[in-house]
Amino acid sequence: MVLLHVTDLNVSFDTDDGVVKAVRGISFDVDRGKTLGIVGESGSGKSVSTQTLAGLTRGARVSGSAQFDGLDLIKASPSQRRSVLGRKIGMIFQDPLTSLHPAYRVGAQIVETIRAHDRSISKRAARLRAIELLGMVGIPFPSERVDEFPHQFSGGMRQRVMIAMAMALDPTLLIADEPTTALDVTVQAQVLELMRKVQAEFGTAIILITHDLGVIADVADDVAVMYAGTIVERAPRDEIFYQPHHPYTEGLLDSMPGRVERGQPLRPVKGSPPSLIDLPPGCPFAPRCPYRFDRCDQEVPVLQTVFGDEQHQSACFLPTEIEERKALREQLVEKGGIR
Amino acid sequence: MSATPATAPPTAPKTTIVARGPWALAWRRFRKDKVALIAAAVMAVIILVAIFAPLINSALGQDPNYQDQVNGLDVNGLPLGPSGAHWLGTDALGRDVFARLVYGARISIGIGILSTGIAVAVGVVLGLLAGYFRGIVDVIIARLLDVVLALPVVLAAVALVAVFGQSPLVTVLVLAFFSWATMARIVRGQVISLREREFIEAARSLGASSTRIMFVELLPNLVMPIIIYFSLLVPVNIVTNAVLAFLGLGIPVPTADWGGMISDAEAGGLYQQAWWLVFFPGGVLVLTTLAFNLLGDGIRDALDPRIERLLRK
Amino acid sequence: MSSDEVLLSASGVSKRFNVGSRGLLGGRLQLSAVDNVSLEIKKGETLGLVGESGCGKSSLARCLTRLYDVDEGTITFDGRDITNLGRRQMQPLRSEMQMIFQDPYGSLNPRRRVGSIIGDALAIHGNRGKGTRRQQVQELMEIVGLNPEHYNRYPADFSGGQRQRIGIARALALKPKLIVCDEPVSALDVSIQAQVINLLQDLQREFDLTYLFISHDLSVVQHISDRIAVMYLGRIVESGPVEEVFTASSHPYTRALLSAKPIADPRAAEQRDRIVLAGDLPSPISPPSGCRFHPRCPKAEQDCVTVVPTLEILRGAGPDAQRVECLHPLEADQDLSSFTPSIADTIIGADAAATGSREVAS
Repeated sequence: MVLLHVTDLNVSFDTDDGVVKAVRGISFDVDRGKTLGIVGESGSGKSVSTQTLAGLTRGARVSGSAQFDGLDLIKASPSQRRSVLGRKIGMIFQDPLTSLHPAYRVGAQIVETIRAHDRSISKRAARLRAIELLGMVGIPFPSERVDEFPHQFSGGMRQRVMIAMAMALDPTLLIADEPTTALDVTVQAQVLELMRKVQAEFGTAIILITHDLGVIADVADDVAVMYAGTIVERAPRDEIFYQPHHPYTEGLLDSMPGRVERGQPLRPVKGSPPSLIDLPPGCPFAPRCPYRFDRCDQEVPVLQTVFGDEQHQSACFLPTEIEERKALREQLVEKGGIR
Repeated sequence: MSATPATAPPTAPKTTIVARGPWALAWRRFRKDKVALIAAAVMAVIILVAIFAPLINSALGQDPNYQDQVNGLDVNGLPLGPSGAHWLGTDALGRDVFARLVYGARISIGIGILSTGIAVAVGVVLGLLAGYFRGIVDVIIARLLDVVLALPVVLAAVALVAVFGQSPLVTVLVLAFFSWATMARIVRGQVISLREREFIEAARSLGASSTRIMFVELLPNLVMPIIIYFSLLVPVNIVTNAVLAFLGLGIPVPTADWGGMISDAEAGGLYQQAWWLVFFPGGVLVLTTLAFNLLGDGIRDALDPRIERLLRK
Repeated sequence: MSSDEVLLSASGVSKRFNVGSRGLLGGRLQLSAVDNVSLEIKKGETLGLVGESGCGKSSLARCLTRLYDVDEGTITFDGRDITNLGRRQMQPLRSEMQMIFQDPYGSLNPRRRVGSIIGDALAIHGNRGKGTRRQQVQELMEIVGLNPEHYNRYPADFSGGQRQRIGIARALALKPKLIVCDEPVSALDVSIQAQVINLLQDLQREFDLTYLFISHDLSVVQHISDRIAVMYLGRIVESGPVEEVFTASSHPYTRALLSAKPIADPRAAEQRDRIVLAGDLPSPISPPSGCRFHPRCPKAEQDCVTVVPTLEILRGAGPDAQRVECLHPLEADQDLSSFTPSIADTIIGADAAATGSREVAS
């Protein structure tokens, strides 16, 4: 069941250098209780798109719609949006220190979050709920640590506090923007484990934004791959990892160090992403694409169903028939187009 | 389809980023700042006047120090008001006010810039040393700073001028002495944060000496605060110089100097009769200070914009 | 490939930092960043140094290159004891050991032109090669895949990956023997990261470089290293040839680290046993007694609390031996997730109760 329905979202910023087209006509759905992983590199627009949903992109030009619970988040007034954010949509960010107020005790901040949406809850009740939440996210001695300040928590613990705060009002959607990027692997594993647990317990849908395909492989149900402000491929997780259609997805996977024998060179995507001010006329990935042909430079590909699977869409002109696509890759590998 | 040679090692990607240094960016922002542009134009005029003062005056046939007791004063021996012969009138000694203003620009601005230059140079070097070496060097310089900042400027200046006598050099040094401290403090603060940056460590790992790190690595990063502080300090020193001159501690007579001109006008309540003697020197003083300050603000805004780095992610 | 000749060796190196004082009368608080570390780097090899943030890997690297003074131990570079060399004595050696830094933004002076940044080493140590400095710098730019025409640009005009190439060119200028790469690709996007890793490997072959490659990313380290050393709280807990450490790790921490490594392969990710370590890294100001890993170790026994283990050879000999610092190392076929923690601290225990200390993914 669709919880969030985003259509044709565009976000651009006016800068001294020109208009930065950060997000260009993306559409996606998030199902209840499911995790959508949005993966992309710096400047792909993955963070901007969800920040826009939360009204965090000031000064941006935004168009499109985002239907959530009967409300269009894009057209909503700030007060309407506020009533949804925090209560129905929880958010966690890469750096919990910037989203936690340094001068207030974590408990007070959770209490404030709870009471901001419902003043009828007494402070005492809210505090008890805060302690309960801290315990739930695995903070040891929650009834004592509730009165500590954010700087007294380690990075991993802070991210747990953020999750507790985001989950305070039992939201139906949790937006996690690079939640584990600042954390070490062993702590990352803890936090991802916690997010899985929270999802299982509360049926929360999650949008997980990350640059790390390893994290995606771990927790996502569906994956959207973003490049230069557009979604270039969208599919269930395993499809993305084992049958990618778009050359960028393929290139990302090929770049991973674990994918080649030791001693062999890695297979990077050549070049670097285009400027979002001055995009190539055709496919944004064309200049870096090993499959590139004439059409790619003239026409912008749109998402279309590939491999006969309704759920798998790719914005690429390459054959949509699975055997043909695979054969093309083999040809390219033989020719040395992909090392 | 064309098989692009992806086997070749990744070549330098065609960059779409236009090469432009921080200066070009700052200039672009500056160009949009109308107030600063006007201030810059005013500044340019005043500085040109100062530079070409002898030319201007000889073209007009005026000498700033020529005491025209015959035609420069009225029958009662009082200064003449503005007229065709003397655009801005004459002073008590029959000297042309315009000619003196033009020459005064040389002195006032020259002293302002020179003293600021010395102050900034001293401040930058001491600030660099204090911030880079910390420890005992820092402590000594910090104490020195405290002393200088604690001294009452005018009082101490009076004492210094009394000791060393009146001369342009003394004025410049006195002004410089009282204005290097803030520069040093600003530079020290910047250096303390800059020295923790990775590029300093990189320089150290290359074997760069401390002198090299201070002057090759750190100094270029201080150019902006230096320029900003310089442009804000010049008008302060121009005014302080005028104050000293007004108190009779400035450049020795008969050299024209804006502060000295106001001081002359004040003598014997002359200004009550001859408003132009105060109005014009005071006016250019205000205009110059204002122009410098607005220009300084403009430069600061252009060099140090708090633009949000959107889309960093 | 690597020979058996040792380029750099450290023995018993310790580094402590003062971090304030303990009250008015108490002694000074010290952070033990590196504790009794011994290692060898062979000519032409890549030694990977892995560990989580705060484990002391960057401090160790700075001790080895003598950017930091060491408190204990000796460091030998190319047959010469450099432990106590002063800044001036180190100066000529600086051209033989270079560093590449993590932050492609912070490690380049934003106010200097790229050409002069890359030419720094030539300016400091004197131009030793052929041609003018500019010619040499442009040649270096070409070698690392930068457009030599961009000589006069500022770092801000380059992307992260290109900036890292600038840093590499700078380190390469004097053809050093050893390059310490401190998380050189961590700040880069995957596709760019692969370009830079390939470049580093190409350069190693071309110029006979020796790398100390520091990273928290196990996949990258596994790919690039010949041998690896795993650090935990200032100590090396396991080291050895990369294949052996990755396939037959004996230290419970190495095992946990490997199991937490994200892998971009959902099926493999689901199949493996996941050991989610309880708790956080303890403070290096007051490290745990005995084995520093014992409060988080699922396999810890009573003696782990009191006895400080040393790095012992497990198999093999010489620099290529696999060494482990554990009183009760794991056998290759033992599964860490089958152990029930009995020694873990009470605090950690409470945490573990809440999150499940060793959840094995289905």
